[in-house]
Amino acid sequence: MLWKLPNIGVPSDALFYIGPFPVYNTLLLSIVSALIVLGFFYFATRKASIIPTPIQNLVEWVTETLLHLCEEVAGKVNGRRFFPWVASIFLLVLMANWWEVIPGVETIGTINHEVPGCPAHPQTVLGIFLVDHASSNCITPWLRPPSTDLNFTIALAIISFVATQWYGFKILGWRLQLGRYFSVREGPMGLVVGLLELILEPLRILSLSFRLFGNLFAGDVLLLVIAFLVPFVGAIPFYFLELFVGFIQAFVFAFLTLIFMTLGTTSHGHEDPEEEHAAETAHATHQRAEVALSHGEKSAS
Amino acid sequence: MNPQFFELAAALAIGLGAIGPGIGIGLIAGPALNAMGRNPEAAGIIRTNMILAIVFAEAVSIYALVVALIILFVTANVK
Repeated sequence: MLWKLPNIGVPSDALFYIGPFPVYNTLLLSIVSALIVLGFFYFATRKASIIPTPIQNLVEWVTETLLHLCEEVAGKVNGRRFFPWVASIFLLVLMANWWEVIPGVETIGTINHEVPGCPAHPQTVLGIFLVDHASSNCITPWLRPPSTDLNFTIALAIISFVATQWYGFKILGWRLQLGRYFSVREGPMGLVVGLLELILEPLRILSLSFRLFGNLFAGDVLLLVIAFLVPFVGAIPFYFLELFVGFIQAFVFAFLTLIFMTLGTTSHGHEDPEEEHAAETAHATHQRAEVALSHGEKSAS
Repeated sequence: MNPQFFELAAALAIGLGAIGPGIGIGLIAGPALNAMGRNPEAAGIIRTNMILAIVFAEAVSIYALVVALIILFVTANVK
C-alpha cells in the first residue's frame, strides 16, 4: 500500500522553548552549521605548517580560490575588504544547503498529531522504518536545512544589503554615495534612473533571499516526494542534483553579494576596475610589441 | 473559492512561469558559448558573466515557484 506523502510546510516547527523563545529545527541547524564551519577551519589550521596536511591544503585551496575571485572582480584593495563577507556567506550557505542530502535530516522526528488521520499519542520515529503507512505524513522533523527557512535567507540578504550600503558610504564617502541615487548633475533622466536604483536596491533583498529559499525548499520537497514515489535507486540522481544545486546557490549568493558590493562602490564616473585593468594590460602589451618591432628593425638593418 | 482549484492554480503558476526563464537561459547561454568558442582566452570572464546572467533569469522562475508553493501550502491550509 502507498505511503502518504510527508506533510511539508513552509514555516518551520518549534522543537522546544527556552523561556519564551522558541527554538526551531532550522534555527538549531543554522547554529550548528556555523559552529561546524568555524570548527572545521579552526582545527584545520591550528598547527599550520609549511608542508600542509591534506585538510590544511583543502582549507588553503578554498580560501585562495575565494580570495582570487574577490580580487578578480573587485580589484586588489576592495577585494580584500569584501573577502570576509563573501567567503563567510559562501561557506555558511554551503554548509546550510548540504544538510539536505545528509540522511536523517527531515526524516527523524516526532509524530505530530495535529495532522488529520494521525495517531493521537506522540511517539518518536526513526524515519520510515518505524512509522506505518497511516502516519507517514505526520512527522515533525527534528532537523531541517536552514536555507529552507525564509528567516535565514532574508536575514542573510539583509546583512548583505546593509554591508553593501555601508561599504558604499565608507569607500565613496557620503556625498558620492548619495549622489548615486539623487544625481543632480546628469539631468532629469539621471535623476529618474537614480531614484529607480534607490527602489531597486532593497528589492535585491527579496531576490537574493527568495532565490536561495526557492531553490532549496523546492529541492527539499523534491527529495522527500521522490523518496516516497520511486524505489531507492531512482532517488539517487536527485541527491546528486541537490548537491550540485546547493553548491551553485551558495556560490551565487556569495558572488552576487560580491558583485553588488563592487557595483555599490563604483561611482558613475569610472565604472569597471576590470576594464581599466584589461585596458592597461592591452596598452602595455601594445607598447612592448612596438618596442620589439623597433628592435627587430634595428637589428635587420 | 473552490479548494479543488488550488492544485490546478499551483501547477499553472509554476508551469507557465518556467517558460520564460527557460527560453531566457537558452538565449543567454547560446551566444555565450559562441563567444567562448571564438575567443578562448576570454572564456573565464564570459563564463562568470554568463553565470551571473543565468542566475538572474533563473530567479524569475523561482518567484513563480514560490507563488505555487504559497498557493499549495499557505492558502490551502488557511481556507
